[in-house]
Amino acid sequence: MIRMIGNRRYRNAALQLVFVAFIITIVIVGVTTTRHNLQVQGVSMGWDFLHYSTGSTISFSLIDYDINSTFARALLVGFVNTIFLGVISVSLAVILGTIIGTARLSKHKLVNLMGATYVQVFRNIPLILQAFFWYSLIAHLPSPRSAIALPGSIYIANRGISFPWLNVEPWHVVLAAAFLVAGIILTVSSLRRTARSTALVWLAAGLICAAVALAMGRLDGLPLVDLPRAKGLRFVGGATMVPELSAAIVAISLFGAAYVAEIVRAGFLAIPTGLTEAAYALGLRNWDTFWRIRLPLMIRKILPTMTNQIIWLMKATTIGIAIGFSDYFGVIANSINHSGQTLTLIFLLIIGFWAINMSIAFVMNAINRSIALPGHKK
Amino acid sequence: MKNYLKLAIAVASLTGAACQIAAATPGDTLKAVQARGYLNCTSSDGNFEGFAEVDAQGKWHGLDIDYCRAIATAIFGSDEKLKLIPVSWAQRFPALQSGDLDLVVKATGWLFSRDTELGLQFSMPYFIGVTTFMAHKDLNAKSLADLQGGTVCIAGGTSTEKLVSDYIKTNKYDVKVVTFEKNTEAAAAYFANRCDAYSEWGPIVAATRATSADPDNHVILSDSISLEPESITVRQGDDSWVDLVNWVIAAQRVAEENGVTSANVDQMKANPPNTVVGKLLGATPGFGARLGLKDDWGYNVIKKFGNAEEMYNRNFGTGSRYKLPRALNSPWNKGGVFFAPVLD
Repeated sequence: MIRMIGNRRYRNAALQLVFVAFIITIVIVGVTTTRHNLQVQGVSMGWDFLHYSTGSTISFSLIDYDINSTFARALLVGFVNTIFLGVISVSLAVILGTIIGTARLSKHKLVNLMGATYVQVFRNIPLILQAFFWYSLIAHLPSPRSAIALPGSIYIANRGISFPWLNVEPWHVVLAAAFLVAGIILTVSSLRRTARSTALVWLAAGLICAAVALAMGRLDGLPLVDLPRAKGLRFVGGATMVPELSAAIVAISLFGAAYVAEIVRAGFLAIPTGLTEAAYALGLRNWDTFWRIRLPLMIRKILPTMTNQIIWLMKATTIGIAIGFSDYFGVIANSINHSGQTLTLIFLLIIGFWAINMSIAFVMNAINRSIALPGHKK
Repeated sequence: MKNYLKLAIAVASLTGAACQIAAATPGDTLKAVQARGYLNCTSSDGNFEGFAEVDAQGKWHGLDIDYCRAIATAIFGSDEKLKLIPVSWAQRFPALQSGDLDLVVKATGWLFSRDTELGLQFSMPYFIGVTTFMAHKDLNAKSLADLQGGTVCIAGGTSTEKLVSDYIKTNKYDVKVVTFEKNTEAAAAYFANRCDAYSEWGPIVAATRATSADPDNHVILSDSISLEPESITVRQGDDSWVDLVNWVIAAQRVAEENGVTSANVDQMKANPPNTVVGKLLGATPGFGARLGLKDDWGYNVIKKFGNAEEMYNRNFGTGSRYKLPRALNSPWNKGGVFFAPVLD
């Protein structure tokens, strides 16, 4: 026995075992104590409430929902809303941030200054204040009766931005968009290896698949394009982006872009000047040096940091609750209030965000591995 | 080996400590409060007009706050022995269940789901009101039916939200509901023109309108939805604690019935006009002991907070900036619905 303790390998294994046992004990004691206390207080805890109807409304929903829907359905609405808000704001933040980050390295003084000012302003004001600012700005737009009309039947009012939309099943729209994106990605990636005409075949294929998807999802007896028109106190027809969603998207993407810009700038600065000089020495022009040398290298350098930033922005979507956007967090908070199932719902909240962010990390790490330069792979 | 022993002791003591973090067993809330030396009661995470408001000095006022103070006074003889814990709507029940609060006095509606599922028990109602709507005057709306295509701003997770959603669906109105985390945010959004109407429980709508920058630009619509009784909420299973809470509410109603006010309470105690007043104010013994309190608790509460009428007037009526008529909140013999149990 004493000899075994003296042996470092046994000792380390035993310590790890004790540590794991200790953690497990704490978890078990915690869960049983909670259960016991809740039982003593007569609080019913479980998953049954998920099948009860909520009796409350959700102001923005991409899927069918009304006051007779169940809590499970409400949570799904919130989850979809969070992903929707996250995908749009994160994409915008990355695109805008890349442009601004590049601008900060420009040799033109004015461009440089504009980029720096942007970063300093948007990075140094708390996100929630920015959200409130954009939200109140939108609230001060004219009412629907005197909405700002833009060409193409787009109306901007304090009840949201109304624009023409397709009379097509929502899932078919998603499918069509996926075909389009896939077509574009395949075209771009094959441009390097094959002739331009061959590459364009991919684009054509994507377009055709998208068109078929849209045609199959058309709603019976309605025109393909649905135009918004004023009725009562708001616009009906088309699609309306509610102010809460617009404000959240604007706030998160502008705020996120400031951080992304700094990451991008750091990525460019981390490229050895020798490589750029070598490109010029080979006779590559400015654009080619940027597009073929600096940008690909920059992307490889910043991916791990960018993963962090994207996950961070995903979590920042929870500010939606402050301006009345029904994201996953907002729906959970509301459901806690209506059902009183605090622990269960907080658990679902944690699992939900964990799942979203783990998926992001998984995909980003896979991209990171697949584009890593030879010799940099681990 | 010594290290293992230490570790084992540490694990054992931590486990023991975890087991001891058990909630107070029901039945002894009063004992726990008395042993602690102060009462844990609710205040708000934002002004809820008339019920819980904070003034420029950071002092809390309002009907709910007065009930917290009155119950602390009944127990300790002084409302100093009170800790007001600001909680949001969503936090109030978990905080009560976990024992952080001894009771919830936060304009809380007596709802079936809360009563059956959450391990809560409700006192007799201390206030009732109907849910109403306020709309911008320039829309020329008389009722919600005139707001087709409009939007209503509401605080989410409240009983109001459920009632309004149900009302809109039942009547097939084309009206959208936008929910906010706090009532103040919902009202601010309405005033900023995000919504055509704002809905809350009646007294709050009236108070919000009365204290807005331009009360004349807002009208209260004719719709009045479901009456909601507000009750003080406690943990289920402590019957004597519910009794205490109920009798603090009842004492002020008994006082009103018998014409006892904060102004004449000393005189009434010295010369009780009838036996009920004598018991209520502790001139004759027996009113306190059966609740586990001192016999003069009724006197202390009335002296400081007055009777039910004074409570109302100070927070909503003539003594407040809202000047809301008492209407349904009057006793039964003055056109209202309230009454007191018999003090024998």
